[in-house]
Amino acid sequence: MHSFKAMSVLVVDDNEFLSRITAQICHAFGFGTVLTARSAEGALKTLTSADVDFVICDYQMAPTDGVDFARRIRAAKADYRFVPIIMLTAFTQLSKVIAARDAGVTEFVAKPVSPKALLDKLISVIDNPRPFVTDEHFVGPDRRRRKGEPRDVERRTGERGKE
Amino acid sequence: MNPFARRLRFKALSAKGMSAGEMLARADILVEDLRAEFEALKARKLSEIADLAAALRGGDRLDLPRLEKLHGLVHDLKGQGGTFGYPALSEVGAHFSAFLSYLLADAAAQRRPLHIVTDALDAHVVALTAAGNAARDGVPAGNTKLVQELCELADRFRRSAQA
Repeated sequence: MHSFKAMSVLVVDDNEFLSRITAQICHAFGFGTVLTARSAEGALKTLTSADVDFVICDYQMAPTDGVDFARRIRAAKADYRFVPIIMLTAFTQLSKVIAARDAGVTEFVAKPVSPKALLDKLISVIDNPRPFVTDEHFVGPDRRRRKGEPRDVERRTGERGKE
Repeated sequence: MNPFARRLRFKALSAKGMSAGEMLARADILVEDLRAEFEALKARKLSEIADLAAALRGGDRLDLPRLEKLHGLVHDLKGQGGTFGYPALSEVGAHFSAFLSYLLADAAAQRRPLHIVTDALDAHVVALTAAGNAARDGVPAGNTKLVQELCELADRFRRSAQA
């Protein structure tokens, strides 16, 4: 049993309709506050002024895409650099997934988005937080998962060899 | 556990929660509210896609800005179809989107005779329209003749563009 009542989520998508779908799903999950932004730039402004517990963003946005947006969050000199980032993506190419993961994205949800897939990821972030790494090469949740955690992205990583 | 993750856990436990089943049932209701809107949007976008593909037949060379607009429309439908019970729309949209990405990125493909390019686009439009008009909650198009034919068509096109 989880509660999102005391939490806020920021949905970032340049597609108005998709943004509304995601926001509605978050309302249904009981988030206390659901914020939306139509661009990475707008979202960054919101992050500096509001207490945000989750960011849900699309991969393909213009002018700043989801990967650059994640990178800018992780590079910030503010507490929000720790915020879990869940990326919605229709891209399945390995290179795109790795680019997003290396930018500090916490979890991925494949499009078309299903409420169940999104809920599973939100709960996973709360129940199984990964150590947060801050070094000169990478800022974000540890890219190596521990035993027993979902292995979807790491399985793909394994295809290109050990890191 | 980093302080942000600890705070998240604290918030998740600090209010009376809902079961996952309750959250998903609520999400279904709210997504259902958007369904009528999606039906109208789907019809409008399919019509716009057909018009754009037809317009690409005019002129003496491939109109790249128009092709990019077409890509945006197809990408949107691909992302939304499955959420509203049209898995085939998402699947055919994914193939169409991949073909458009290839066309937009490959100079050799763009230099092919215009009628060959537009014939290939038309085949994708026909398939996408069929998927969009299929009964809701239909089976995914995977391995069906429709998708198989699209894959073969795209493969033939790529091979001939490379030759």
